[in-house]
Amino acid sequence: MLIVRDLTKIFGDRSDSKAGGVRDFSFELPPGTFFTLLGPSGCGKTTTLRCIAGLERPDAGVIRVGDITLHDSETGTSVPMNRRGIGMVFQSYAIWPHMTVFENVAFPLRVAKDRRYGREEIRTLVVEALGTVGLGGYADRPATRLSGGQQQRVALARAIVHKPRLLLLDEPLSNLDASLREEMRIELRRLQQQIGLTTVYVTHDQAEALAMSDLIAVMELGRVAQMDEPRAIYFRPANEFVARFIGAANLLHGVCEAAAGPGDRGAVTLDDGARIGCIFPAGGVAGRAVTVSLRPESLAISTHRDLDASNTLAGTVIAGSFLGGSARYDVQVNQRILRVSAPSDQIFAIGSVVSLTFSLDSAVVVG
Amino acid sequence: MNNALADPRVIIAVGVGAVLVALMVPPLWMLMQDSVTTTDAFGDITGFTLQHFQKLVIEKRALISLWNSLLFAAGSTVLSLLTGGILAWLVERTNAPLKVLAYLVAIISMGTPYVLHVIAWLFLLGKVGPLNDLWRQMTGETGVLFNVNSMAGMILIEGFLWSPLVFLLLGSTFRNANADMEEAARMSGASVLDTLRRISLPLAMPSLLALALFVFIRAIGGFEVPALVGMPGRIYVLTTDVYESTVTVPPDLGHAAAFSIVMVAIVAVLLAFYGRLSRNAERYHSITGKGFRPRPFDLGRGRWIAGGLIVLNFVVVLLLPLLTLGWMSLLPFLRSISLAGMASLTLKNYRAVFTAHGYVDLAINSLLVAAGSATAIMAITALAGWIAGRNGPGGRILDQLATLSLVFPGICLGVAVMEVWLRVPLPIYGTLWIIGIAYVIRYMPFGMRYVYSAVLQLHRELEEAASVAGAGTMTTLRRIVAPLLTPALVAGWLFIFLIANKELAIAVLLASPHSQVIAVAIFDQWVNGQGGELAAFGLIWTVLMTIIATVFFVFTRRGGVDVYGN
Amino acid sequence: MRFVLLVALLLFGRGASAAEPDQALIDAARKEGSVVWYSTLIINQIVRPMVDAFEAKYPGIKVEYSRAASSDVALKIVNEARARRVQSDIFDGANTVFLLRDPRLVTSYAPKASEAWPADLKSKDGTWTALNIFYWTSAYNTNLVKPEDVPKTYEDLLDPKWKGKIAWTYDLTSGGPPGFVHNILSTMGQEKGMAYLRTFAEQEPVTIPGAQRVVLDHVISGEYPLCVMILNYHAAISMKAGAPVQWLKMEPLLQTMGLVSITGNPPHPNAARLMVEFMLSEEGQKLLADNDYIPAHPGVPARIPELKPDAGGFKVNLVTPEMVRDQAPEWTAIYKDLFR
Repeated sequence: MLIVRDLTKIFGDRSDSKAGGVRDFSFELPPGTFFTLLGPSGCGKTTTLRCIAGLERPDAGVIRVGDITLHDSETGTSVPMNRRGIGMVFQSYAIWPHMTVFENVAFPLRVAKDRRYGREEIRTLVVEALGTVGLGGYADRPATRLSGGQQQRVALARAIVHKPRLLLLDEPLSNLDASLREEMRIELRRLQQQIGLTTVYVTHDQAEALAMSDLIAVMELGRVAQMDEPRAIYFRPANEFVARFIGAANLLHGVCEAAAGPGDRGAVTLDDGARIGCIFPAGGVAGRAVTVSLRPESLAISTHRDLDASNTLAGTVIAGSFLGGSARYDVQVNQRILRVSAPSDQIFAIGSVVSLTFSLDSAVVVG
Repeated sequence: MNNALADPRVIIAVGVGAVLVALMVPPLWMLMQDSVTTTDAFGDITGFTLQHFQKLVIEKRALISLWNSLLFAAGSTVLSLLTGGILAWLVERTNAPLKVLAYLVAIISMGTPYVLHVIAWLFLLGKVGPLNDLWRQMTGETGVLFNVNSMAGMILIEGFLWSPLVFLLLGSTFRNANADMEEAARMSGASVLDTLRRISLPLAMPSLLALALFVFIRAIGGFEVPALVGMPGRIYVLTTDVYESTVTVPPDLGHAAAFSIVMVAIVAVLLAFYGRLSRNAERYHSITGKGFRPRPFDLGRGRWIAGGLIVLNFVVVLLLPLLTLGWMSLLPFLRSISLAGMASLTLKNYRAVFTAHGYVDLAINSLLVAAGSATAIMAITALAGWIAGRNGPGGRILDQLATLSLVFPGICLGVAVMEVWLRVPLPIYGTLWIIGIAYVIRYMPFGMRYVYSAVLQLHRELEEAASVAGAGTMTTLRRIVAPLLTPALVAGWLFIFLIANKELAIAVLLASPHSQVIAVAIFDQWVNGQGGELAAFGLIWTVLMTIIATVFFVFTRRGGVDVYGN
Repeated sequence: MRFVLLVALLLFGRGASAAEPDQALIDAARKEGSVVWYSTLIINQIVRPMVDAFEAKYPGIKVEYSRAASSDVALKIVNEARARRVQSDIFDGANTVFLLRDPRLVTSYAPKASEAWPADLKSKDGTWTALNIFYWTSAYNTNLVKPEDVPKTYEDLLDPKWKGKIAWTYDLTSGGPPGFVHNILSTMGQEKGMAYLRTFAEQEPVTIPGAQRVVLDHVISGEYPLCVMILNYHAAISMKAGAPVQWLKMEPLLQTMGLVSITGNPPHPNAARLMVEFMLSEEGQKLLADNDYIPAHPGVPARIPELKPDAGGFKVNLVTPEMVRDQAPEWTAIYKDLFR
């Protein structure tokens, strides 16, 4: 169980709202949660992670794991990073080149202060950890003779060998190639569930975040833009930033027609005059300018001109690309271009006139 | 700054800082005091004065010397950077053949006392040397083709003296540079030269500039070449002016100190730039813990041109001077290379060296003091460099303290160290220890450079991983930082060990009957005009140093510590 | 101790035995066990032979020595005295004389061995005694200078054909350019002398960065045909080895002295006196001669007798240590003014 409350760490001028760092960040994780900090570079996700690890000293806030307070700015408590009992995988892996794989993994056991590990015990634990990450038999390799994926696994084994309370992962997959990344994504998730370790994961890749997490915090300029489970983040982005960041959304501007409560459905007049029905996750005020997010895959494209149906827009295909499993089209609707995802067996020639249909629930007012 | 992290680091910083202050500040203080006081015959201070500085301003000589110093330093810096830099690039980043020759040049030159190099070059390029001899015979002229006792001669010789060092230092820069960027350029259609000009050079520029400033500063403080090459041609620089003031009867220490203060001021300004440059310089490349080997350029047919350059460097920088020394060592008295000279060849000088008693003691003393000071320097700078490189508490101050002695002319440092340590009620003065202390002060900046750049090249996460894994600061230092810095520490140690015995002025001044070192013998032979014996002795010494250096290189390569380091 | 010495002196008068130090001094020296010599002389050529002979004669007294240039030796002695950590017992040198200005830096002692010497070879106050004599002169390369061209007088050096071809040392002592300045000024007079020096400066003599011996070697190697302010015995040694060089009796030659003095408050005062006595004794002086130095002792001839003025038939201009001490800065200033 990890509790972070009002965590603040600003680099440079604190009064400068654009200064890097993190501001007033709070969250609580039940044991075994896979929690992802997602955001573009400079959004404060790594700072948060480093504060938890003890690599940075927060300006304010409380960090607690279970009933142990790691940091509390009020009381001045701060457990040194080497006493926090945390496992961490760095972006560069930070595999020590002067040690063998075995020595790299055994290091946390050898330097442990709270208890002494015997020779045999170390061997057992290291072999176990290496086995867990699928590197059995690699123990005696020099660390420099490993591929990127293998180094990544060594780093992971090193992070879990001493059975930490918490696992921190700092963009561990960003240095791997695409197929390996996909594989490791599943692997990491499997491992995490197998060990049941509370994990904080930092990434800028929304696919990774959606695939692996129990809970995601999307961050922007040091603040949390939205914190929710992956589906909610994906289907109910709380604001324009999140909508943009999670997948290429079509964002339409319009005016809310009538007041709506949170979660209500209502109508929006788009700035080109068309009317569409939307869902208002946070409610709406009549007459207020709003932005509506429409995912490419929520739009059904067809040559039937079924203009009677609600939530139908007419347009012209101006570009298309074949992606294998699906196809993507750019459709000009009045003055704006909407991106549409379609099954790859449907073919629309450039210039053909089409209608785009979407369900009311997939048009989300994001602010 | 993390409190938990800071504690042991603050202790280290304060400890190392105290040692550095104790070493560096008192000599500087002495120098400043000497420059603004008058003394009586007993050396007691009789009053405050600005006359030493006034004299500098009034005498137009000082301005000429200053200008000469700048010209000399700039010229030799450019030359050494060009020759050493091109060589380093060819050896580290291309598939040029005969690379081993370049290393050979660097290692052997480092072990040869400067004075010997200079003497050999003076002979080679001198009035009766083979170059002018040949020209006279070919043209029938009676004059000289090249007057070595000129600014050009000084720059040429000093440039060659520094080029092996530039080669070694730039070599590590090129070795660690990111090959992707060069390959990207090649893929965009750039030729090797284009790539070098548009990508490699701009990328290496901060390193190059930092190194250039370093060489420049050292050349400003260089003494051997200005004295041996410049003085006969009436070309005086700041260091030779300082020297002259210390050898007049009676020594005019105030004047020398005032000159030194001027140098200190110039160098301090340069150092400020240097600090900023070198901070940026090393950021361009880093060891991340991922195995990587830069791919060499394929020069195609240009390989053999490159090989030719490497051979040329070998011949010019190493072979010719060594052959010259060999020739000189076999002659009863110095004469030009000729048939008549051949007839008089003798092993007398070698016999004299081997039979003279005392040289073995001197050699042992020299090796002891060089090894001791190199060890002390690397121990201090390992900590100081780590803290500075990691922006730890007081890191910048430590960096500047450790680099402070770069500003001292050798002879002034010697006098200042003597004045300081005579006052310390410890049995240091008159023993090998004081020479060691002077060496430690003098060569501290070199150790600092080695460690500092190595620290910057170590990815910070390597240390953070250890901390998160549960290691305390000391454990991290011992088990992660120290082993990873080992290649740099070994390289720095060897470098200091080799150059420590080249310093003549300090050793001669501080040597006592109980602490004679090789430098004293070299000084003896040089002053007495025992050129043949000096050459013989120097060659033997060079062989000894080369053996030591080679053993080191082989040992470090085999130990595998070079795989991920400098 | 003084008393004993005086008595011994009175008793033995000027006899041959006067050179022998008395037993009391030897015993006291032996008790001290060692003596430290700060030298400006060449170790292999004279320091070590002198030390070996002394240690053989007085077993139980060890001589420790270190060699450096005059200025370094002077710096060390001054600084050690100021810190009250005097290391040396005796020192020598032609240009360490300015140390003699301060009584804290030097011990007065009139050696018995030099009692009979002419007055200009020793100080009145006992602060120094001449150890050896230097005769500074000119030399030329016999391959490069035709017999008819050999300069005979100082005026001959002003011949335009020697422009840029005369070498001298960078050593700014009485044995270097400042000594040359003094020699010219004191023999030609201030006005004529300065005129001469100005013309000589236009000849652009070449400053060789090395001692006088090195300058001579440059002439031998053929780099320069002529040199001034070198030592006649250096040239003689090289001539014997077959080098193409000849020294000149360009009159007057400049005569300076290598001195020996006892350091102020020396750690081994008796051994210091004994060592000085030995160096000035006939035995010590012969050792100098045997190693090609020109002994100060009037009764000991040089190895090549012609190197001394009487036997060689040349006139000299004597520079006393007091002149060096008081006037050297002036000579140096003139040199720097005209030749830099």
